[in-house]
Amino acid sequence: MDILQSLMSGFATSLTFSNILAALVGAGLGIVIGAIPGLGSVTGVALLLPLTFQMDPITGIIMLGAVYYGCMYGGSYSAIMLNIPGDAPAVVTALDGYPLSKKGQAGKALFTANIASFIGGTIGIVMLTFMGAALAKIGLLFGPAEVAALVVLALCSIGWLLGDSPKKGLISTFIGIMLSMVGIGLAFGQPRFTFDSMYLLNGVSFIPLVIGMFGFSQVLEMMVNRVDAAGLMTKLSLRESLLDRSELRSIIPTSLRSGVLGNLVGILPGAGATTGSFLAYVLEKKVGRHGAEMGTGRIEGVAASEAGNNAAAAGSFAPLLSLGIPGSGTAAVLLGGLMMWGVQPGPMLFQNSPDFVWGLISSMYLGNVMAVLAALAIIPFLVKLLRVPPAFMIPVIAVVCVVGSYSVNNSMFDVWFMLGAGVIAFFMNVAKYPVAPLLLAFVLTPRLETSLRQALDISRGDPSIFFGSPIATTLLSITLLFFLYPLIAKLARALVKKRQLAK
Amino acid sequence: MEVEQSSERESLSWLPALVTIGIVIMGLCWAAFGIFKYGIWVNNGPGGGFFAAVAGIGAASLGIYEFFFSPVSAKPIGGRSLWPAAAMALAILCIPLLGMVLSMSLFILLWILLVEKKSWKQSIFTGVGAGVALYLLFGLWLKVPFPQGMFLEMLQ
Repeated sequence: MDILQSLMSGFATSLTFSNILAALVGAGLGIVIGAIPGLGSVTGVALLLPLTFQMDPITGIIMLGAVYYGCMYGGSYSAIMLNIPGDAPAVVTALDGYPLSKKGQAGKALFTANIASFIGGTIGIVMLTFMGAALAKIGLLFGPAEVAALVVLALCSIGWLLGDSPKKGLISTFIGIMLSMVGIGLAFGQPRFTFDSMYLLNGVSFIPLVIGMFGFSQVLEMMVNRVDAAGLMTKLSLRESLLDRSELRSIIPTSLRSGVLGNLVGILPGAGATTGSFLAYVLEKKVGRHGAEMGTGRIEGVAASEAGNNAAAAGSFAPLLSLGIPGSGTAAVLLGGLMMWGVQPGPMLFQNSPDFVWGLISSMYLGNVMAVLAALAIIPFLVKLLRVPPAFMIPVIAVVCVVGSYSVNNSMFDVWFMLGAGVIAFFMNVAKYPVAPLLLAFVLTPRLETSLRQALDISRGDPSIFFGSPIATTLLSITLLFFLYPLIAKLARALVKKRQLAK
Repeated sequence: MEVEQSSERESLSWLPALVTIGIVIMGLCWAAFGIFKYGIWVNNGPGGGFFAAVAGIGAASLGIYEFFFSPVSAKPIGGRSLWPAAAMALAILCIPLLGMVLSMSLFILLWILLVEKKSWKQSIFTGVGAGVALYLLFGLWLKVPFPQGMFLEMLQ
């Protein structure tokens, strides 16, 4: 009851005309920034942080919260329409979003992304409101061994995305692991595979890699297979883009379970929205009614990824507010903002600054609602953009790829890297090597390497650390079970058949 | 609806083999560096070369299997497919001279005019429009420090 009262007082503080306007402007700007390849929520919040210092702290944090949510919504747009993920979590959205666009259902994919983002975001904020402190404590139970076990589960789940040729998918996964080794290793501080290039000391930059492998390779693909653009060229009306009742019924359960899972992953330090969206996608592929068809253009795939990623974004606020530990890069930028306003996140925050903290939580509800309204209003314009003929689309997308990869680090090296990655991904595509497992392995491996090393440092090389912790043991058992499941299912089917024959 | 069907589809059957050979070489390099330079097991835990060695050996062995035992399969592609990459490489080479915005605008303009064979009016409208949008969005609003190019610097 106390929580509800505090939340209501937070709404009383935040629901003013200027704050609602700030939320709307923030959501709009966030959607635009999130939709631009190369600029994710970290950039969006960092860019607008200085502007908010002139504002009242509550208005400032409301605007930044709305920017954050807007970016999470916008990240999916370029993934769905152009196969260029705006940020890392949107890689998973592209798996089903772009095939839907090619089928002429971009409008439905965008609607699904918005609705699932809203549901996921709302689940995340509700869980943060009522269980914030408890969730943060759960996050603290995840030490290096538990995080390593979680990432092992995620890495092994890539197997379900391998497509028609598991061997080629596995090779792609290995290439992703190899690329993630480039740069100074976090565990040892030793430069690896840099070939004496100072540009590679920080490792392979993820956004130019994604833009090249998804976006620029798509440009090369469009050049020859223009027939593939037929779906994109289909005239779409807003009415055709709306989801019907059966489609809504199909995505709501998906969004609910993905939202809960994404939120739980989001509270873990360093796990991030990418892991959240990926695990939600894998869960849906396993338990969803249309799991087998995911990857070919199913709205459930888009819903799982988007709900998981938005819920994880909200989840990252739990350790930030309760413990002062940012759960994601954007949360770290927001932590800087909070400290500049004189607010010290941590266990005493709820006692010392209740007005501010409940204003912030209520602003997240406001930001989420404003973001979904702004996002739904933008869909008709986005759908019109898809009618641009390939003759104009090809050079414009190519330029967006170049500018997007340059603006990450303001480096021409990244532009050349993007171009090379695009050509290599195109060749891999021709040779039927899937690219998605490569990117997911690239994101997940550094976390596994660091956590594994830390866990074994703590136990002085004793692997029993993974079996002494109930969480790690459970996660590793689930991994093993998933591996053995096809075998067990096959045996069970054989047994049932044998019994039937005997009867 | 303006959809062009590509008439020059051909299968480059050598390309998958080339990709696989590249993967095998990369895998062997990573495995060798991982084992001999960075170390697989250091101070009771995985060394800097552990994951590189595992992934390198995995990629190389699966690549060799693919090369010798899997049937060659490739998507049909045409010679035109690499044109955007070549043209974009030229445009990027022009950036130190003309700057980012001008090079990209010229790329769009010339591509639409020469490759897509559209009218001068359409090409100029799209090229200049894209350039202005790039400048306003990235240069003015987001303050991305685009290279200005020697040409513009000399004028200033």
